[in-house]
Amino acid sequence: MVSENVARLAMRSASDQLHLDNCDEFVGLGVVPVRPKSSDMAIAVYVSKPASKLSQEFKRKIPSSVDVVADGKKVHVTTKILNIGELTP
Amino acid sequence: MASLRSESRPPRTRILQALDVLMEVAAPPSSGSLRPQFLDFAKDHRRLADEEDIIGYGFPGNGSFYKHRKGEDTVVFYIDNDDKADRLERRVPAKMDFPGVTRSIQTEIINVGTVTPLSLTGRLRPAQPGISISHFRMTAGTFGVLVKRTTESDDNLYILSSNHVLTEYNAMVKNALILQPGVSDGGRDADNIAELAELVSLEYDDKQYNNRVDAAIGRVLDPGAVRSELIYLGQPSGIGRAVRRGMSVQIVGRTSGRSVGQVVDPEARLRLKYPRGKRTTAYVGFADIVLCTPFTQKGDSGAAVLSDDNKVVGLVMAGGSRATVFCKMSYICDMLKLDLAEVA
Repeated sequence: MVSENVARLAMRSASDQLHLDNCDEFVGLGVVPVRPKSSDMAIAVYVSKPASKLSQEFKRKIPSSVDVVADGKKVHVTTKILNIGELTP
Repeated sequence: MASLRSESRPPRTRILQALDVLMEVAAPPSSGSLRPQFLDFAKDHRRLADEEDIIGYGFPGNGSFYKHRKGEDTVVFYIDNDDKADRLERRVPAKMDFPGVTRSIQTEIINVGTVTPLSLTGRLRPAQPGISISHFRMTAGTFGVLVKRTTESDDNLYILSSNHVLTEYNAMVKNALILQPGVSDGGRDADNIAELAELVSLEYDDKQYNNRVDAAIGRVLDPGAVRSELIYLGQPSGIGRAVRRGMSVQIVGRTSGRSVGQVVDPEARLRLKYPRGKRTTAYVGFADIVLCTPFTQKGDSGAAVLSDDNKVVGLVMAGGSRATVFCKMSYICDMLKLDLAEVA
């Protein structure tokens, strides 16, 4: 079970490690439940396209989980790619 | 003793469906075990359908603006004049039994006054949060909320909206005209209602997430030309600093009118493509902003986002077909030193 705080820690770590800013389909990062209403949290990788239209290069950059050390223990935090579409002001 | 709070809420959809059948705006279910009950319900209360004094009905939530019996499940019948209330109270039963609902539901008669169609894109004086506004060059966004500065020496009133609605993405200088309605809705110089007072500058950068808000304020030129009550939602009850996953939020926007969404991620870190100059766009990175289900449209930017208990929790920044994003009111108030104003 990954708590919200641990998932946020992993998200900040992922932000530094993954170098997604050069990918046009990348919108941002966040934290969401692994399943609806679950308290097991995952890193959300927000994208602007459906999975079928994401480039292979981008998909290769997203690991299935990100490791982070919390309370002295190594924790695997799952990643989830979520299409939130194009956001315009 | 079992408390009322422990009982589950009656099924809202079924109650509204039964009322629709009764008031003859919908047919009863064509089949199913409840069909006879719907028909009996409509027959038993047939005279209510003939009541010309009833202008509407509903089953509002416990946070309803109008309901007097807070915390109770109540079916309401709306009227437009208090004189009609006494007469109608003798004809509307105190409680009603709905098909497939195990307990009786209380009724209430509420005077909502004369209801006329309201345009959120037209000129309105006094102007209220929820209607069209913009800087003087182009576009139309939403008048978010009326605010005042927390600095003692300033008695002015200010209109709070998005930076991109009031300043065209940092491009306006102080004292630039702000129009109501916005230019896209026909606003002209004569519709000048405020002048740009301060903005939180947008920092363009495709790798950094240094922005927290998209916000600006305009000083109201004539205090008599504005009111602080939001259209449809009334006076906000305060500023909400807590935004939680799953909480429902609402706006009144220039395009959508009243619209409701749900928080998906209360602390997202996103980069959004914003116009820069006349022909180019560039990324603006935001941290600690709120991602929601899609519930806004173009023109709703700048609308105040309110919680269920009517606290202002944010300001609409951007949206699309799959999501809406808002920035947090707590940051806006801290950065621009603001508090809500109350002007009747």
